[in-house]
Amino acid sequence: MITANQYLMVGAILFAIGVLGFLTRRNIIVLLMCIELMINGAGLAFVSFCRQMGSLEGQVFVLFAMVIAAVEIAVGLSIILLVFRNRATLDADEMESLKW
Amino acid sequence: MEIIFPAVNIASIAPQLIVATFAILALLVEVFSKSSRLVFATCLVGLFVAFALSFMQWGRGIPYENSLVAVDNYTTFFNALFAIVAIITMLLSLGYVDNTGIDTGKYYPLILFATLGMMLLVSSMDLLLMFLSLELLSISMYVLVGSQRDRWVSSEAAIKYILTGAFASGFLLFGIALVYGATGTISFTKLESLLSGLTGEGLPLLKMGVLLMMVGLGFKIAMVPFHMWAPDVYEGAPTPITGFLSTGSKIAAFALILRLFNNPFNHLFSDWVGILWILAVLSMTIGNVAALLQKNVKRMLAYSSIAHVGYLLVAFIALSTRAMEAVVLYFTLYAIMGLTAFGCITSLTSGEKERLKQEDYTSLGYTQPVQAVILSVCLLSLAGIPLTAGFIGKFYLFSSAVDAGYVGLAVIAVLNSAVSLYYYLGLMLRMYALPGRFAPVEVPVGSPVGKIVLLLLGFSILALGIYPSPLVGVVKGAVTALSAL
Amino acid sequence: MENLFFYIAAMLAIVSASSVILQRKVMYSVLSLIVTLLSVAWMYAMLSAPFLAVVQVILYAGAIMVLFLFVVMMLKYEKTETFRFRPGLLWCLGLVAAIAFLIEIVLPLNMTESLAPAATALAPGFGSIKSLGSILYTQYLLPIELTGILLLVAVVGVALLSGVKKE
Repeated sequence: MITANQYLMVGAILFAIGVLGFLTRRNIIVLLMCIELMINGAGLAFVSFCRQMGSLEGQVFVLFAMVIAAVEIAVGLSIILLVFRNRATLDADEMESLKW
Repeated sequence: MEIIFPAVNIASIAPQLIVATFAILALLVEVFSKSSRLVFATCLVGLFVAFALSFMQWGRGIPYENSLVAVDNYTTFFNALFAIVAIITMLLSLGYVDNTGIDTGKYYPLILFATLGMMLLVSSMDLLLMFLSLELLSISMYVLVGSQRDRWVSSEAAIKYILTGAFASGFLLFGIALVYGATGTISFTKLESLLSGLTGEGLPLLKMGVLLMMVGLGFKIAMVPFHMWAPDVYEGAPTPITGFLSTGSKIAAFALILRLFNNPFNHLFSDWVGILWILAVLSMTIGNVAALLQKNVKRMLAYSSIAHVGYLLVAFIALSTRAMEAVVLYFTLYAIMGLTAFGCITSLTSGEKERLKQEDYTSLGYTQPVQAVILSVCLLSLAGIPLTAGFIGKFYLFSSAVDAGYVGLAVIAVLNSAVSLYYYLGLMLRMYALPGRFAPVEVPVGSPVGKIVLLLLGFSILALGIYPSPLVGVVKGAVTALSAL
Repeated sequence: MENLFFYIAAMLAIVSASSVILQRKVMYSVLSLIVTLLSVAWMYAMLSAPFLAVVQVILYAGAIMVLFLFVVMMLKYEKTETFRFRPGLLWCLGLVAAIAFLIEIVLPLNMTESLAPAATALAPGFGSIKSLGSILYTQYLLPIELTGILLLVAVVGVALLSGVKKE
């Protein structure tokens, strides 16, 4: 029998993969996608808790998290376009004019 | 199924509503009249009305049973503070934004939206509203940081800010999920009543959730070890926005942490004392030592703002009423000092050229006497010299830590303040160095409005340093609401 | 049967998520992410959240990922992409942090420690549009309104960042 606990595990694993990717990759588009993975991991955790407790607040929260993700991505991609227009690069390691 | 619509008490969130309305109004003005002066005026009027309304709300707390928004003196105080911070930011940007390729018609409304986010963040009584308003604040800030489209550093700062900020939001979201899973609720009031009956160990889910939430919020207040984005973003952002970021945004997130640990998570605070002790020491030390090494003035102030987070944590650890008063008082004073410091840099900009390097400030006292005097007062205040506001703030902070028995921490904080004297005074002495062979390049400076605002700010630093009791009284009233829940 | 479905969905989600961070080309990462999002939607459906599953497919896998694909194809960055595993300090730290995170979080996770009692049976219509809508427009009215402002901020922000200069 699959309990909500297993779903929670999958959510946590997705979140951890997202964190790992964020810390290791260099392409800023991929970094944004890793954040999407983290948000999805959290969403899965919310929904599995909802299933466990029979309350709806978590599902509402996931709905809002999706909106937030959409907004973040829209703004993030337009900043990426701005960066690309200025420097023609998407490599996070090459963005170091702000360093001491 | 019968759906009963909730009774909405519009008066209770009047300041927030006014800010939102005027921001949208300003956007409409921008579309139809294309006059950036008119947009500016609309935004300014909105902020003044919001400020006046929060004045009228003072002392008239509305009890919240199931409300998502707290209306008490604590939130009213911060509503007024954020309105003032936004007004000053707008006035200081006046001459600056026109010269640096910023689309002013959208820049000013976004400042209002960010202010709305701050106001709702401090007044939220629900994890959902908290998350949404934090995002509203952050997203407006991402855009504002990147608003100088033609300057590469601004874009670079924006991409670094949005990546770290969204990463932090991910942690916050997962933390909230775990807290929700552990308790089954996302309302602060219910959380508090559930957790107050909690005894013994147990609930690793809850503890892990709070830990992850603190990681997310730690990023937002630029606390060590989550501070690495701050210097880059502060340096690259348009200077008035740097001031807004280092005061408004940081204070809003910190004020929320105060509410979280005073109300819902009060019973978990004992786990946090040890961690926060170490983080306070690290924030102060790393901030001050790194600031010593900086050549760029904006970057130096960025590191010093990390150090100031450390000072705030010193008192926060005590979590007594007295300590909360000290923290809230320091928020106010730090808002004034931060805005003044970055405002002076803004005001010294001419055209596209900003005075960023330390060398640019050599002998400034002879060519730009007004700004140099104000900046000196502000630097002395940041260092905590007596007769300035900063001294009063630090005195309250450290003495409340000593009262609560954290003598060692207070000693480290005082030593750190001594270290910080070196770089603050270094910049000040540089401004009054006798002109050498190379006369500094004469640059015409920003708008007269900015100068008047700076004069007022500089005056208030001195005034609050000599006669702080009215402000202290107001702060006491604000903090009472926090513990009364 | 339910077990089988769960394991397929979970495997699909984890494998495709790993593929997101392992692919050399951005385009493949985007496509892998779509698979992840769809398998998460699958799990939402199995967790009695049918409305969320639908929204996940339409909004996430549909709208957001199209935006990603659009940007990736517009920038034509494939040519210059040189991904290599950086065995540097940051990479090692990242690996250690992520593994520590997994050990710290995933292993001790246990729902039985929750303060809230477990539901014995779900109400009929749990997670349907009607049940979600009735809570959204009553209890969470203010957040809904705030969402409108958030979307407005996104629109204004994107216009500010990428708009044409005013003369």
